[in-house]
Amino acid sequence: MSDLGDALELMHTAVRRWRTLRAAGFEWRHQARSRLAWDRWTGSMERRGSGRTSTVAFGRSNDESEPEPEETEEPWRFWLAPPDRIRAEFAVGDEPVSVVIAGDTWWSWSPSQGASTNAGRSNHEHGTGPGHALTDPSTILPAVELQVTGRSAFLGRGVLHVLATPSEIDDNDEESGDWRGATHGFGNGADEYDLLVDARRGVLLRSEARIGGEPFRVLEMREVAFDESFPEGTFDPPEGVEFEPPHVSRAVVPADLQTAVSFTVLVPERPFAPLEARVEAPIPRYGIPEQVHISFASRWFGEDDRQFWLIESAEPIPERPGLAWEQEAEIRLGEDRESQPPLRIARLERLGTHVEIQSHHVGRDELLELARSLVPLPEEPPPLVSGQAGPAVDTRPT
Amino acid sequence: MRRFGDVLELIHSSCRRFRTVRASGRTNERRWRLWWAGDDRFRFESPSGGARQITVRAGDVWWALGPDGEAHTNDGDPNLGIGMQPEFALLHTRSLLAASLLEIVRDQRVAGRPAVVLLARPRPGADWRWWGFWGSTDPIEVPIDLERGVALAGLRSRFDEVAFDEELPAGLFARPYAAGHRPVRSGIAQPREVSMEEARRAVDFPVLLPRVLPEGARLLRCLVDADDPPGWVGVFWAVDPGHRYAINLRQGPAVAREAAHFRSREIRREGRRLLVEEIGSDHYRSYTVLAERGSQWVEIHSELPLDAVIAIALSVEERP
Repeated sequence: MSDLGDALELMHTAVRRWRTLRAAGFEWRHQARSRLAWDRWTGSMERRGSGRTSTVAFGRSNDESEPEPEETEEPWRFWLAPPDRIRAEFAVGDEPVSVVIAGDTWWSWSPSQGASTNAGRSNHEHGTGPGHALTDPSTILPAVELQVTGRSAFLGRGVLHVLATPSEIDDNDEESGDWRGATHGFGNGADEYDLLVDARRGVLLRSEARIGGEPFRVLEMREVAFDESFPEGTFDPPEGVEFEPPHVSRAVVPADLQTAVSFTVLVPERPFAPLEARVEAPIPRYGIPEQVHISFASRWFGEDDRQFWLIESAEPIPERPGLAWEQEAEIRLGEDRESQPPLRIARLERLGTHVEIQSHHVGRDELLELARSLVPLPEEPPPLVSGQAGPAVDTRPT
Repeated sequence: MRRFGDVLELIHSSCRRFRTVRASGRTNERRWRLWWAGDDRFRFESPSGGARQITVRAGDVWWALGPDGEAHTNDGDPNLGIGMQPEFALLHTRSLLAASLLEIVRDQRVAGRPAVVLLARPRPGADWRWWGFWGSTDPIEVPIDLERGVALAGLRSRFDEVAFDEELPAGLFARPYAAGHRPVRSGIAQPREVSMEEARRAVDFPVLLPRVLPEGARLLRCLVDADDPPGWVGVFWAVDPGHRYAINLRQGPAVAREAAHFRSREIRREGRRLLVEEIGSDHYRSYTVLAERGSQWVEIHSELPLDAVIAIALSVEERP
């Protein structure tokens, strides 16, 4: 059999080559090259016609005077006992997150977010950290060409060196979107991936994503053990910790919206698009009270950009640090330029309800008009009346 | 003994192992034929009653001819795509490597060709287009052509006959209906936005409007179908405050045709026959009501309570 056949068989069957897996390692990133790779990948998605991409920047620190490091290295570790038990520890931003998954239930805890659980709701999933991608390399096989470049040892184990190059993607192929997403776990937008494939277990012990011949993301194991029996309690949440239930968001039809919350729901009097609403349960650990989120998005052909959103609450909506505000009577207007395109914001309080209106695409004056026109949403359906079919005049927008 | 790694390599390189395909086969017991010379150059035919349903794509242009004689085309607009039939999955086997866990079962001739039969066990959460398994965990047998790496059967489809790398006549990838064929629905042409008066002049059927509407109804738009002659007129209202309900009214011969296939329950109100369909979930519900008025059908769609939608439908009439 060829070296390529060996590599394909190992990577395709990795998940059935071990009973349990314990590993520790790190994720290394070069920030500038990671951004380059990401921009290339999102550019290819947009050329494919996946639509406009809005980018939201996540900072590592609120201290803007602290320069972003050129390189970062974050540790992770996990314990896996398929089919459905996982314990993982990894970094999110500047802090460690721990998660235990047993069947449909997960428990998660971290210094700033506290302890939470999905209480068995299988539609509410939790991440398991960057290292997990190394355990099932079959995910990338359809989307890459493979070349075995050698054999050696790593962490005392035999390995195949495999160079994986993203396959040329034909946008006419109905799986082209799946192909573009297949390398996500190892770093999208790479020219190539240098992989170390465990010659017995098929998992990857190391992955190095490169752009322009230089690495931008490395996932590497520093320690790995297979088929151990894990100590009792490995997949139990910590004792004595109170886990908050999941944040619940539920869609509500307009007819039920006002009765679903205890405060007055306000709506623009004559918006250009129909109302869709969700009631968001409070999140005590962030101090976020119950809110109503209402979206108005035009459904007319060619008007994809015509949309805006309302957030409403009985309590003041948390401040947005760093935004400059201007006051127009009772309404505050601001613009968040961290978001692309910039997010225009209007805030006000009326009839005891705190409201924030947001839009990327509605202009300042139109946003102001929407804010001024807010009125209470009626609880009852409207009565039918005669003679309102509308004027026999030109209805086209001017 | 066949080596598993060799079979995986065959599948992985399959996309480089053929240039064209001509095949016939069946899905469940429905027969079909296909010709493929790339994912932007293909033809698919399946019989339907005594007629054929044909889909052709040639680069940016596609045509589709239905068994009722109605044709559709995008007139070359690349923004209006057309999907490939699921039977083309047989030619796209690479994603099997990620979507399923494979093992060799036996060698066997399938569709007259030597094949290795694999057992494919779906991997949870691997949602690939061609071999998505749609949440099923049941394994299936997939015979892989030992020369080309394509699947000779799988999911619900199988080849009866297949030939590779033939020169396919250019006429296969051309418009599947004659010049002057009617009707042809063009995907490009959008409905025209007009005034109510212009709508009345544009169509050869009376435009009906409801005598009753909810308080707060606001006329948004009036649209006329782009076909010549137009198949329908649509009138759209918002109900304020907050655009909390929408009311969409359509009428014309296209609505009458759709009424014949409308999956709904039939009710009688005020001595008239109405077709009613409810679309609902916890967070959305709406009603479509079709009402016959003389020889004309009117369709009302709204999230208003059903009684209100029915009352609006019953009130349509010719209005000045």
